[in-house]
Amino acid sequence: MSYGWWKFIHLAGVVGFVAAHGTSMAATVLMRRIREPQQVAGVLQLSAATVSAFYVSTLVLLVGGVGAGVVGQWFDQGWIWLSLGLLVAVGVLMFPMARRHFRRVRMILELMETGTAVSQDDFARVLNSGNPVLTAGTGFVALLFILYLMVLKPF
Amino acid sequence: MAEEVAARLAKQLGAVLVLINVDETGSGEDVLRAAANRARIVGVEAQTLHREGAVAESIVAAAAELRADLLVIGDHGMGMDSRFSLGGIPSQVAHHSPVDILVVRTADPSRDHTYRRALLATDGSLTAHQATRHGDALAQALGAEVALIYVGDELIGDIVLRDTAARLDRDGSERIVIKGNPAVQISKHAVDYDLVVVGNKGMTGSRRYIQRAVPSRVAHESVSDVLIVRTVSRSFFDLRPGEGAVVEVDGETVAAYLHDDGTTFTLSARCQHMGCIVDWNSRARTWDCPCHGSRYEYSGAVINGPTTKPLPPVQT
Repeated sequence: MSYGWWKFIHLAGVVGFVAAHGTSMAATVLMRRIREPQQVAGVLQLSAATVSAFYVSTLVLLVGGVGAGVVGQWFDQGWIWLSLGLLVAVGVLMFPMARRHFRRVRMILELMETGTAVSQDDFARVLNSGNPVLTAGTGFVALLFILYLMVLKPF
Repeated sequence: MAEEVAARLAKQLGAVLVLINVDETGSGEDVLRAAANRARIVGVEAQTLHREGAVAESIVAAAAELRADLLVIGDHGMGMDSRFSLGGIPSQVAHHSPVDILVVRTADPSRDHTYRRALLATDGSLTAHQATRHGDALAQALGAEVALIYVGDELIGDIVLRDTAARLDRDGSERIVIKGNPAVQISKHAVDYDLVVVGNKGMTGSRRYIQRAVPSRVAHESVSDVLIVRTVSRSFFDLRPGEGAVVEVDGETVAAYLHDDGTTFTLSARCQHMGCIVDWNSRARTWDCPCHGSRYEYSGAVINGPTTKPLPPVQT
């Protein structure tokens, strides 16, 4: 398969990744602003709906990227290794942070639904916990840096 | 030891004590007579029941026939060495008991098994509320102090234990919120208590073969006696009207619901989004997926996604 096709697969994966993961990032930030449990549940549901698309697009992105790297003979340059390393490192770092936060929000919603006494303060504390802005911001900056490495190939 | 604890509990709670022995050697009647005499000495008139056949099955069947409130059993054969086997009799009884079960530690003969301090474990679920209520009622009847434990997220744990303490009217009780593996942490904290109370959630269905359930692990690893409160039905036939449970039917994991009018629903327990096993939500009477929040009506129809497909019916 030609380099162009591998690059196409890679970019298609990137589009899917940004669309799916961007929804989750937006949901994380949005949840801080709303206090109505049903609205929070809706946002959470929207985020959950992107999970399958996120995993598939990440796989496509990686396969396409590695394929393009091999065919284009980029693996003797530093930027591709750094990009790959950064993507994996940020993924490993952010996954537990995000999972913990979403799980916590899901748990508090379940507790409220099953009659557990949850004050507005408790609810706000849970929604604001886990530094969602820091998590989303870290991911955004990392993606921007990877984009810089990909496009400008500085080393 | 279990016999002694059962006799003492029967006396303290004013309950009828039935001693059961299952064997095929014929010596069971003598064993029962001797046990009944020992119970009489501590002031309890015990009934006796001798059965022949498979031990665990016979005990479970007798508990169901007698409509017992509590099964008391020694932990012999339930030690760390056999924790990965399902062959131990106490283990089999614990997994299939139709009633609450008290597992009595027998390794330390100096232990007096007087319940002064009870540790009630909860994860904030409705079934855990049931378990803590049972545990608290027993603790009250025995005059025991109560402590509450939640293992998991600290923020959620604070909220859950505050709510549980308020429900039990035990606002002043000790509350332990700790991160980690629930079974390990509960067993670790059990050292400071005479009795640990857990619900039986996780001891049903095929998941228990893959991942040992928390109550089962606590029953194996705790140094204290463990009360496993039956909060989740074990089989389809245990279901009460309006109750649902994930049960095993012919080796298949099934989401079963018995409607108030007697109609039964048997559905695949696998969420149609990504294949997680759904949980029964007894308050809302819905099947809820713990992974990504999909919810289904008791009939399997989708309430909300991410799933778009209903739980398919299963022929049983």
